[in-house]
Amino acid sequence: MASCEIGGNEEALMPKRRKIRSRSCIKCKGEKGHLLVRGLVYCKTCLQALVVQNFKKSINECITPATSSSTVLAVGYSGGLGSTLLLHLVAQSLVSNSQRTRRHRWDEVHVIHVHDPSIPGDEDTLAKIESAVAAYPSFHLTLVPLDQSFAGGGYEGSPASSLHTFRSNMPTQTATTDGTRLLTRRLLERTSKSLGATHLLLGRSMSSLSMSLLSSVCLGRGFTIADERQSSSGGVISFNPLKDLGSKECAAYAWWNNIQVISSQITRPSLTGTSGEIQELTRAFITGLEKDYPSTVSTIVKTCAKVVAKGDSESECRLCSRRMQTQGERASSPAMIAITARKTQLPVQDLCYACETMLTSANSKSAVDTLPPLFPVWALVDDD
Amino acid sequence: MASDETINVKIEFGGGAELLFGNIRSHNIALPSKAPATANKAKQEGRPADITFLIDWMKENMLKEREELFIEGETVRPGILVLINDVDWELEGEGDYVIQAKDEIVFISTLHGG
Repeated sequence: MASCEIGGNEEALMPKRRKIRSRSCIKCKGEKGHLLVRGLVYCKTCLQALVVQNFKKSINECITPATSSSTVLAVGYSGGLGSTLLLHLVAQSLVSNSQRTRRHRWDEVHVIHVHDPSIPGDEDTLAKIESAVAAYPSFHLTLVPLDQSFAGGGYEGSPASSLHTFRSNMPTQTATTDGTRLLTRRLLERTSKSLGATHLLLGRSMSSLSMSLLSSVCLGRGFTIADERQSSSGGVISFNPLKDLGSKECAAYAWWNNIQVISSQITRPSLTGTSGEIQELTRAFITGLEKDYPSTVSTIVKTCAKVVAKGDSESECRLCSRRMQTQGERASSPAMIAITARKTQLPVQDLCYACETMLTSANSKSAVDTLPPLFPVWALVDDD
Repeated sequence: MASDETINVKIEFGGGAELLFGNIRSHNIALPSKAPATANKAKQEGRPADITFLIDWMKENMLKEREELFIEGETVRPGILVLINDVDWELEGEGDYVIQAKDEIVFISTLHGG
């Protein structure tokens, strides 16, 4: 009797086919290639020029004479690969007197670092951050503690205890991470505005951005997915000048230029101590995808750039300060309506679907017993 | 010191990968010149030391913590960029590259992106 089995109990694996490529640089054609980027070979010189060229192109696309009315530029800095590279490129390409053009003139560059004092080793990280920014004498460093989100909110206890309560009352690990990132983003935007900046640069590369985009969709933030690339809040335009560069070329550029990444992050456990969050799972997926199918990551970013939300909403979510669908376009979960009515200070119509889900996680087993959410100060007052 | 049985190799770390190796960025090692068979027997014993063997040797002799942040199976995990004498290991045959004396091999983590 014929059998369809392949090789008995042995696992049939297709051997990886090694592509035969020209070792010459795709740009200059002459030099020996140093880096393979999405199927193309670049020499060291051309790769570095490509990084700078992409950065400047993104800057020119997003900062136009019509949108640039301030002499203050804000740069978000976490100490990671993208934002560290961003500092270097800003210093080299935008601030250096020999490189300044009429189009971009900033008298002040403020580097903003949001840190979490509750994390062990935060003081050591801050020392490294200060040392890193000190290498750029013309930059001003502004340190913003994450618990500032709750300062002046009228809560009992210190802002640090309010931040702890905010996290503790989150229904899931994913919600905790989402909430923390939301606080970080809003603090960057608010601090940029208080410094008088009209533009805030963020250090997300194509790889990081694709992770954020997919995570956003998974978390219910698809309506404002375009805001992950570029957004405007309180008169501050935030965007990612490294959006066309993958993590590989960023890492190679940083290494060849001796740009040091703050290395406390790699072994830092996630806030909840596990890797089960949607964000971490997405990161693992994208990282694996980038290794085997690198062009797919680029496709994710480009495809998401084409997504346009249906309808035009003028309402803003009180918590994340992004546009939200009208109540007629979505239905709040019964759990959220009950919890909000019973415990919170905000009516449900002031929260977008994603923030509502983050606070209640209606599918969670603990939805019925969800503790009352604690809101940051900007959600309690109108100060934008 | 190199001998017929070892090769002098310089290993460097970047992007935070050094934290997994005692927070030391640069290491000079004497790598055995012949490699044992791999666990899955895909590569035979006695072959010249290659990158696959180097990674396994590093795991046994240098890695201090969180093995899963550096290694996946018999290769580095996704998110680790490997440069062999400043050249992408994907252009040099990845794990099959036969290590030469005085080679400089760099492992750069790209896992903390933002």
